Amino acid sequence: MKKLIWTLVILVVVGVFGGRAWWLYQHQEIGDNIVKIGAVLPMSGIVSDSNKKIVATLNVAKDIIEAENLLGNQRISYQLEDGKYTVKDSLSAFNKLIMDKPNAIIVLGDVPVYGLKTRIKENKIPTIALITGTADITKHNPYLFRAFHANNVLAEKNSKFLLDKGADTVAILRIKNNYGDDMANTFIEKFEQDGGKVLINESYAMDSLDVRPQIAKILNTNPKAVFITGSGTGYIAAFNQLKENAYAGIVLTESAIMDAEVYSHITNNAEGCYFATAEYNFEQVPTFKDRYQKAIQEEPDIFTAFTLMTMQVLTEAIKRGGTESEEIRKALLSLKDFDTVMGKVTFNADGELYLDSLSIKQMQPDGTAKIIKE
Amino acid sequence: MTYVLHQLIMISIYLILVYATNLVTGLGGLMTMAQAAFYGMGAYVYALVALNMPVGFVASCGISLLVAGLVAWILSKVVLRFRGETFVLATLAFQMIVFTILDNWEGVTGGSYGLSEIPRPSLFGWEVSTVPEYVLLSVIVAALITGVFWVMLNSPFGLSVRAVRDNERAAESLRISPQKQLSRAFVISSVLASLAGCLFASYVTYIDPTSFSLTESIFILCILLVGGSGNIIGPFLGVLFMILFPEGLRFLGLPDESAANLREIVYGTILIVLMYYRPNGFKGIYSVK
Repeated sequence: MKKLIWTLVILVVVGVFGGRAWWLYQHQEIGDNIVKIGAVLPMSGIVSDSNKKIVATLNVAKDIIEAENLLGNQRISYQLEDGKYTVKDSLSAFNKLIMDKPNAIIVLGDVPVYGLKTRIKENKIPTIALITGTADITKHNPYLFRAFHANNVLAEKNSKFLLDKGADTVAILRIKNNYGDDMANTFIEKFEQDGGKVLINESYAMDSLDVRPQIAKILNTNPKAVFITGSGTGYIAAFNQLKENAYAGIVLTESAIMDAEVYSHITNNAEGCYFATAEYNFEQVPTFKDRYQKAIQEEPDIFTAFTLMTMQVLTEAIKRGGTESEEIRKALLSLKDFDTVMGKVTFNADGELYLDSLSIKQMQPDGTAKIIKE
Repeated sequence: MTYVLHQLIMISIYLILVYATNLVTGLGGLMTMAQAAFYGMGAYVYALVALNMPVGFVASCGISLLVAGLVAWILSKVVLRFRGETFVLATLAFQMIVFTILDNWEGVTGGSYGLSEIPRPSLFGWEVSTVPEYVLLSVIVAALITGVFWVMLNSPFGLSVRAVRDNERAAESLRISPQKQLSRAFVISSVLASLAGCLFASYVTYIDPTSFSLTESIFILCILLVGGSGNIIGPFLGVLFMILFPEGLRFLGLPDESAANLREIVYGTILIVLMYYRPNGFKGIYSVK
């Protein structure tokens, strides 16, 4: 009896998997007019919060591209795979993607991009590193392009801004991962080169709820400014607990503060803080904002803007060069001052993004951010 | 095809890791939480040697195994004073220490940036540079380890470790030294885990501390418990199930917005059901208390 039950269970499982795989095989989009774009995203795991808006942006961008015939009779087909923000799973996701021979790939996050660098080069597929800040990550890889502001570029802007404000001593409170470490390291290098002094460099775990010990150490050094960088509950706790301690100096942060979910947990405690960010204007794609809001009932933010920009540059590259991977790569490199939702963008020979729209903003009491320095 | 080959490589690497864990947990009856630490140690030492000294794959692996063996031997002097939950806690502490070192010693390990551009293996003139070649290498190594484990299982050493697991006092009365035998098992297990680390680092060509965290130790232990410990077939079934099942779920074609979370729910539910009906795993002869 037991054997029979197990056999039945196995048969049902095999039937479900096999049937579904067969159905998918029968219904797959094939043909010369299909442009395949693969994406390795953190769809589950600790940094999966951003996934909803990224997927929504990709889908809305696809609808607009097809509705406006931006690629002629060609249609876009996405294949999204979960990389869980780990090297191991991203590698699996990437290997599954390349089974379908995608024309281009999008990879989100520093850890997955690092883990896939060799594979991207070996498979010669143009890949956009989305929301990936680590400096020089695209170097020595002709197929890798960045769609985010690099940490060293932000460091330059932040350093100059703080010194102009007279804040020549800074304490850093960063997330403990390669993104946070790189953000802190590039800032320290630039700031100390410019004549400032970093008094203390503390870290927190992404999921921590209490950063009071780090804040106590920071306040003990009496810095003129505190630079908070990162994401997750630790980032939220940093703002709330710094305010709890009535810190009166300058608070510098990054564009993560504009994430609606993050801001809803910080609200007034973020008032007055500064951050360097790229400018974006959704009016550049007139119907995008409405369609996006309709899709997920949320305001689009900077991460939405970078994702939309990614699709804009890929569409343009395919329009210019066709669907061959090598041609897409060359076309991406040929984009000079190309108009996107992020303003005019250019990729240099290393695939590094150059944006002409970096500014310093300050958080207002109503949760909006106002440009205070171009 | 690359995807299937990649899964074969991962199966081979995890097979080595799980057989290594089986030695301490299945045969020795001690639940170790430090496997990912030795796995990471192997990967990092291999990467550092391969990046800084042109001594070749075999020598880099050799140095890596030696370091892991030495550390494991020293560690065994401390952790093997404990049994049960205390042993778990002691190995857990070691896992945390290694992770913290890997994550913070920027000058050597690269800190959270990790180490990149690790050279691919070259064995006696054979450049292992493509995925099929790597499958060959990893499958050969995994098969060798399986053979070694099979021999060890019924060897005097394997029998004495099992005797210690079942009744330490009775084993002592037969002049078996529990400390000595468990220490040997622990060292061999750590050396094998570090070998898996060498394979992983040279295959992926990039390593960072997150690949060797406590979660990874728990995952390795889960594979062993799901497959069944104390024998040769259980770990093999566990690896097949735990690696291939979540990958198989990728082919269900669930809606993009919820696919990942639904897959995790299905995966978790099946594991719970499995543990309920098969508490010793698919083919376990010994259940960890």
